[in-house]
Amino acid sequence: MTATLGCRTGSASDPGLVRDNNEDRVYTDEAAGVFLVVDGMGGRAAGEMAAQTATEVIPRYLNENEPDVAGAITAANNEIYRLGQQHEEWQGMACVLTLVLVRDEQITVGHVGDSRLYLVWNGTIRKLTSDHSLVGELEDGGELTEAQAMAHPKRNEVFRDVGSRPREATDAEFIEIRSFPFRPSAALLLCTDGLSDMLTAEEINTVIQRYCGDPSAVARELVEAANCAGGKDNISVILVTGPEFLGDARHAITQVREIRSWWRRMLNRVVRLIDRH
Amino acid sequence: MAQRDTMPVPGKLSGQAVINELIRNMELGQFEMGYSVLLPCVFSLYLHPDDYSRLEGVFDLIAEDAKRALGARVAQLNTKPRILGVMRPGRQAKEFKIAGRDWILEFLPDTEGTVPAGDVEIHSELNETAQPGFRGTKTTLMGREPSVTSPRLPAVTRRTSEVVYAEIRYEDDSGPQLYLVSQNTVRVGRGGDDQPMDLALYTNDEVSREHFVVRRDPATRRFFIVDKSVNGTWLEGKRLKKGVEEALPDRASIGVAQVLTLSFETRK
Repeated sequence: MTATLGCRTGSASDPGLVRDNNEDRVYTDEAAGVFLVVDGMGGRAAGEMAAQTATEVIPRYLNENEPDVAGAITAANNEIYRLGQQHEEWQGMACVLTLVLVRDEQITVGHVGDSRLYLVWNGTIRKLTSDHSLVGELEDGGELTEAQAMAHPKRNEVFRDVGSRPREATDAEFIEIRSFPFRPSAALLLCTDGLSDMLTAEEINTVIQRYCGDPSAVARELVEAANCAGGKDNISVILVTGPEFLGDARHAITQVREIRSWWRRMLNRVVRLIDRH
Repeated sequence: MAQRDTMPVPGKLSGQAVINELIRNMELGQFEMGYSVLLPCVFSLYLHPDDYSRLEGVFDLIAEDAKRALGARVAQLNTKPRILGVMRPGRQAKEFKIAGRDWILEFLPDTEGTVPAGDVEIHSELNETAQPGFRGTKTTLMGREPSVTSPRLPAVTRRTSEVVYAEIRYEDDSGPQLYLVSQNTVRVGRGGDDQPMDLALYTNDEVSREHFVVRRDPATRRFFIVDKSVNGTWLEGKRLKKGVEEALPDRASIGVAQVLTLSFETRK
C-alpha cells in the first residue's frame, strides 16, 4: 500500500526569467509519500551541487531508516559540507529546503530556510512553515504585511541553511519539525521563494483553485504566473492533492449534478404521466 | 466610451464621479466563464497631481464609499432574473463575483502628464496576479484614450501600503497562525463548498462552515461580532446569542465551539 493512497502529485521547476541556470531541485515519490523542494545557494555550479546532493541523500536516508525527517536533513547537511570542504569550487555551498512526509493522513515537515509549505483547504490557503529570515520573522510576527515583506530589500537573506557547517540533528536553530493532519479534501503546496516572492498567497490560491484533476497543469500554471510577475529567481513547486480535493471544480460539478437531477425529475414526471394515461 | 453628458467641470473632480467611473470600469471589465462572471476587483486610479494632493486626505473615505457602491452593484447584478416568479434550474443565471477577498483601490498621482485636472484614469485587474488572460480594462472619465505607456500595471497591482486594523492570533490543526485584518468584514469558520472564509480554521466539524463574523464600522473604527454557528461562539467566556451583533472590545478572547480560542486585538 502506498503512503499517499489516492493523492495526486504534480511538480514543475523553472530557471525563471533573470537567471540562466536552475539551482532549485524538486523530488517527489508518491508511493513513499516523500516530497522535497530544495533551493541551492553558493553560485552557479556550487548551488546546483548543494541542491542535487540534498535530493540524493534525503530519499536514500529515508529509505534506509525509519521516517526520520531530522536525521535525513542532517545527513544531507553533513554531506554537502563534506563535499564543500573537499572541492574548492564548491566551498561554502549550501541550500534551503522543505521536506514533507505524508503517512496515514499525517504530515511531518522538516524545514530549513525560506522555501515554503502551504496548505489549501475549503477554498483558502495558509502557510504551515516559518521563514528563517529577518523579513520572514517580521512577517510571521505581524510586523510586516505580506505585501510589505515581498517588497522588502532584505527579503532573501536567510539565517538558517543546510550545508554551510557540520550539524547534529538536535541542534537548536537548525531544523523546524512540525506535524499536521492531512485531510483528504486538502492539498499541499511546496515551493521555493521564486514563487512566493513573486505571488501572494492569495494569488497562488487563485491558481490552485483552478485545479481540474491534473496537479501538473496547476504546477506549470504557477510557474508561468511567477514568470509573468517578473520571474526574478528560480521557481519550483510541488502540488500534492488529497483524494477528495476538488478546487473550484467542486462548484462546477455540483451545478452539473443539479442540472442533471432536474432533467431526471422532469423525465420521471413525464413517464409517470404517460403511465397514468 | 465618452460620457460627455456627465463630464465634470475641469479641476473639480467629485467623489461621485470617481465612483460612477469605477462601476462603469468594473462592468466593462467582465470576464465571463461557464458558470460565473468575474469582475475586476483591483483598481488603480490615476489623478491629476493637483486633484491627488487636494483629495489625498480623504482617499480612505472615498475607497470605503466606493467599495460599498461596488458591492451593491454586484449584489444588484446577482439579483436573479425571474420569469413569472419561476426559476428553471437548468437556466441558472451566472454568478457575478470577484477573484479576490476584497476590493483593492489604489489612488496614484499621474506622473506622465496624461491625466487632465478633473479626470480620473482607471486601470483594473481581475485579480492581484498579473497573468495572461486575466486583464481587466482601462477607462477614463473624459473619454480620452487611456495611457498605457510605462510599466504601470505590474507596479500598481500589489498593495504595499495596506492598513492593518486588527490582528487575530489562534492555533488550529495547522499550528499557530496570525491573521491581519485589513478589511471591514472578516468571515470566520471552516469554510466549505462555495463558502471560502476570510479566516479559515483548519479544524473539525464542531466548527461551523461560517462560525462568526467580525465587522468594522469605518466611521467609528469600532469592531462588532455576530455568531452564526451551530455550536456557539464565546466572547470573554460569555456565549453570544446567535445572530445578535455585539460590540467587540479592543482586546478580546473569542471561543469557537469549545474547540479553539482566538485572540483578537485592534491596532492603534
